Amino acid sequence: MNLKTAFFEKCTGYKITTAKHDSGNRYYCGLFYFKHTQLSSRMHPFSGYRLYFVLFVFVLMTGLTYYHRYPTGDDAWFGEQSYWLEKEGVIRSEFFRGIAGWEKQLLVSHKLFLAVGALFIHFFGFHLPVLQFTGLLFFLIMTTEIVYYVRSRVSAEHVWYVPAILILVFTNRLLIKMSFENRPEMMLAALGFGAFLLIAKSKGNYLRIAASGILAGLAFLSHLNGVIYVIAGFGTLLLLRRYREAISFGIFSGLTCALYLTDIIMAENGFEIWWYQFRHDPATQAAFGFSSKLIQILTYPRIFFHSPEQIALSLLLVYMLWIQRNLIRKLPAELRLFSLLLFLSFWIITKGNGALYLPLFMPFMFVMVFELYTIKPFVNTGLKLVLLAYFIIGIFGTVQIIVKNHKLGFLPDTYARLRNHLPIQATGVVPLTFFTMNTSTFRVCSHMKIINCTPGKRI
Amino acid sequence: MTAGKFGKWSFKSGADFILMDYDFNAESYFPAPGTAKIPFYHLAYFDGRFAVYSK
Repeated sequence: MNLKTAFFEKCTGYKITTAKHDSGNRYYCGLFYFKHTQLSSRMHPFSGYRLYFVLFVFVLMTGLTYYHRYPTGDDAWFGEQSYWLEKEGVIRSEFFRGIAGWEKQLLVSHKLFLAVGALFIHFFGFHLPVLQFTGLLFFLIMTTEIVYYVRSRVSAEHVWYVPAILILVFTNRLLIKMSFENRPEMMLAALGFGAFLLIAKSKGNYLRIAASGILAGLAFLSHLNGVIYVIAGFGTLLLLRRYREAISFGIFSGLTCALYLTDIIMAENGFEIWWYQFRHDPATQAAFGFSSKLIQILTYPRIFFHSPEQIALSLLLVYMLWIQRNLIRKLPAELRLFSLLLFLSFWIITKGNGALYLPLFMPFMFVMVFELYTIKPFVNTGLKLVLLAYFIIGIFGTVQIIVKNHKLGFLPDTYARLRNHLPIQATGVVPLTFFTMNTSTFRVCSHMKIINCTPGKRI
Repeated sequence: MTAGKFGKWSFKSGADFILMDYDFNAESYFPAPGTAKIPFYHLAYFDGRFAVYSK
């Protein structure tokens, strides 16, 4: 070891490699490795414990957005369906009475998701935060899965990737918003990403492949959009020529999906009613007809670039894909194929390009960003700018939610204070979010989202 | 939809009252805040955010 090498090691604490380089210049080789080590361990200004502190701050901010979180129309719409399921054992809706017989029974519904909501209502009562908790539960499961994936891909010295990816998760405005909403997307993302993990980590293990098929099937039971995980899982295994596993996956996902028919078989004229409700659901009309479907297909990228809260992660991923375009083939095959099939299958089956469907892809987008970065770590001005935009959108959006919650107050309490100003034993046209007022005094129908509504009983 | 049509629609739907939240979920067909009357209903309560119209 020459004097310069010893000096470097003493000053920096880095051990300079003595591996021989083709050039035969050992010192040059040592510096090269020194620089590389520095890049991966020291170059990131937020590596180490500072990352955990930053993460803590963002988790805290996310938690603050949950305090007195304002309800959405979907909290009401799905909350009501879960309420009837828990109370009467049937999924139906009074809010939307008069549309396709929904007041009798809803056969086209997010069955497993509603059942989870009904379970929460059964144990914790019909309250707004209880309904919102369904989103939080599956957000936490999805986050844990992402952590598991990242941790399984890095060595102990690069464990800082875990808080780094979590910071991206907890500064994503869309995720923060939807993690506390009574909508099925979080559940789908958690189940679908779980199905992927089992495929990626279980080559030749038929038990895990069966479990993967079941998870994909459960995603389908939670929302018909969940079929994309079944298609992606089966397609990935086929394309990887894991034929026996593909068959196993197909059988178990198929059997699980078949449970969707349970209430349809039990209902009188179930199949006719199901088809009628599917065909006449106001939300699915864009999926029928050549021109409307064509518009859907042509405007598909809107899901990813609808507004800043969607653009933030999409831009980061697109930037990483562009910079690392020559290295894309080095991505794990399962991730590459599964993600691509998800993207393509949803393109074909989607009934709407709603921006709220982005969470179906988000765990895959996060791990793609992680994988693309770790293939060949880099820092450049472009990445700094993209990350800056990501954090500005995330932090601003988080503060926006907190301020909105504070400004509106806790809506169930606000509505309760209004009670004295409302006629008693009367029928009213009220906001859909009025469902949070847990009283049987009023009979209501909503003036939100309803085109054809007649008054129904207050739930 | 206009405020007038909204009033008629509510009446036809059998509603005794209409509750509007101008801050949280205002709709384009809401009458201007503080409007005293819409078809079939009159303003019974208004606090700057909420308006209650009764028959």
